[in-house]
Amino acid sequence: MTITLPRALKGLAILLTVLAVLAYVGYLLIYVSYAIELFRWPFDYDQGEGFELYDAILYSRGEWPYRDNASFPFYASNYPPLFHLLIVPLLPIFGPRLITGRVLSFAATLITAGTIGLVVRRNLKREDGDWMLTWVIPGISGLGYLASNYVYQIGPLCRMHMTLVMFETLAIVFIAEFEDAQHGTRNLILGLAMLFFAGYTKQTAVFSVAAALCYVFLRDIKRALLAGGGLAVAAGTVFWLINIVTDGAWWLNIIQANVNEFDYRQTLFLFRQWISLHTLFVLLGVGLFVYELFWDRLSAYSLWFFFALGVGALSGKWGAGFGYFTTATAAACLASGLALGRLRNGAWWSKLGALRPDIGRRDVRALLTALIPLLYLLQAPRMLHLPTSGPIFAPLSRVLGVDGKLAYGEGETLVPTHCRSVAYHDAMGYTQLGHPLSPEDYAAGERIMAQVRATDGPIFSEEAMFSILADKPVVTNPTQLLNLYNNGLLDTSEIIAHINEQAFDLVIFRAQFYPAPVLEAIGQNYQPVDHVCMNGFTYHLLWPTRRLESAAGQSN
Amino acid sequence: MIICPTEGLDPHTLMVTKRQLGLFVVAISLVGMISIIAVDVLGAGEWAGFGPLQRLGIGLGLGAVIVGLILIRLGDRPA
Repeated sequence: MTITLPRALKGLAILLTVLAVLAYVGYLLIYVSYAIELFRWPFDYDQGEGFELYDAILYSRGEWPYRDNASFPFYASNYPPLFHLLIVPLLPIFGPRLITGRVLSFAATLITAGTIGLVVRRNLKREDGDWMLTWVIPGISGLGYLASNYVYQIGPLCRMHMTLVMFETLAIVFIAEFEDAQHGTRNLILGLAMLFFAGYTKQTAVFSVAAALCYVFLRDIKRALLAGGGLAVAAGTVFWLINIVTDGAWWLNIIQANVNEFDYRQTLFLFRQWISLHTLFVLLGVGLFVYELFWDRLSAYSLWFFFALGVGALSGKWGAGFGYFTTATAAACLASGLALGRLRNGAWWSKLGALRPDIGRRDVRALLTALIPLLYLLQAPRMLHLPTSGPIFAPLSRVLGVDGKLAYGEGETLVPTHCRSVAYHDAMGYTQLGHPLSPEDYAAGERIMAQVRATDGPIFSEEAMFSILADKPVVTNPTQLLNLYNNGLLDTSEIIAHINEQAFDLVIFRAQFYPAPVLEAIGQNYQPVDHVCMNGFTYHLLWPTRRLESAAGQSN
Repeated sequence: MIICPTEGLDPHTLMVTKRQLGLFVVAISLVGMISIIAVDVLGAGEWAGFGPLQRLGIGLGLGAVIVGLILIRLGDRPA
């Protein structure tokens, strides 16, 4: 006797599928709305954005951003060049504005999500046109990536993370097909090229390189050694050449400056948060890895998921954060789709011997038709994030009961490091990204720019965009200076001499991530003249004492 | 390394088996755990005593050894 699925359950399955698809399409719309919001915002939203744009500007002038940090303008980049080089062709279209990098990064997330969906679909597609395997699981696997709180928040920023994940995803997809009878060698070469691009976008690509080469090694040792050797020679040669032409500044800024303090508690906190937000995707990814490890052959996708956890393990480094989990999120979404597909087509159950003789594959598949969208639907609110203002989001957040649960808190619960609450709720709790900008934020930005434009020479700003928008040189990359100083690799004498001479007409602080002697010198030579609340942060504007005395003399 | 005997696979391709992968995992885990303990024995660490990070490392190492031993038992199936 076989179990037949009641008609009511079929109806329920269709209803759950529609609701699940709506939930993830809803997240896509929230993401697009946030991206459009950021495309319009001219100032730094995240502190590193302006510096990444400035790297692109330097490349467009034919200059390297790997320089001597100890001499004026005390600026160097701590990231590899590819993301910034990709921005360069956009500069003539948009001008030297953040929208260049934001559009690029946003496009990278869409390509990654599309690739995840297509790979899952290709692996699950059946000749009988099963809509769950052909459309629903691939679609939500891709949309799930864009629905991630982490991807949402970082996706449309002028930061290199998401371009890295795009190259990593494409690399793994090509490498997974290296045994293809017709295009195996082509796929391997393309995969290695993508790994090269990923490595020259951000250093953390090394984990995806390890995953890809490990996969090839498990299946074909000779080709793995050839591929690994070829990649090492290509990447090593470029690395060596850049180091030669930058007189060693490349090595100092890319490698030595990134050796920072590590706090394992931050790593554990972020692991717990990542699992809590992406529970279904993570559990299915782990399930696929364990199944393949003991009962099947390890695939490129489950190995990638496993190695990507290594990037997450580095998230306790000073300056790191949840962005280190974006690769693991992409891998989890992809692996989860493959896992659900295998569950759905019954291959796992048969292989595990878990089916009773009287229960057929068709029955299991029928039950999973309802269960899979239910699982996706249960996962959706775990990642809940949305603005709480505006004609659509304000009533929606009220209906969902989160209109009073804001990312920075409000009133008495306002996080002390912030000057104003933001109209945004996120299931991850406190976060500095993801919220929309208000008219007050635009007005605050113009107030700061008025101060910047009133100066003649360069300014000393913790964020680069104030200088770039006023056509001034970018002076200092604060976190880079701090990293080098903490590692005993920065001579601060010239920068302190400039501050003592009061060579900058204006200092703009936000987080004060400068070496202590630099902050002390500024404290002795500059005084606060204004405090501006923008984007939830207080910006401190300081004038040199000579300028204050001159202004006082004129008014007398 | 073996010439893979599994049906349907290229018999001339050198590949890794579950047993070899298991041996590698056990070896790496043991080296890792010995290093973690050696840090205290040799006094190479910044702090004295067995810290929470070391306990975590030993726990993960033991887990990996168990995984490796299971893989060794799975024999010459391709990894």
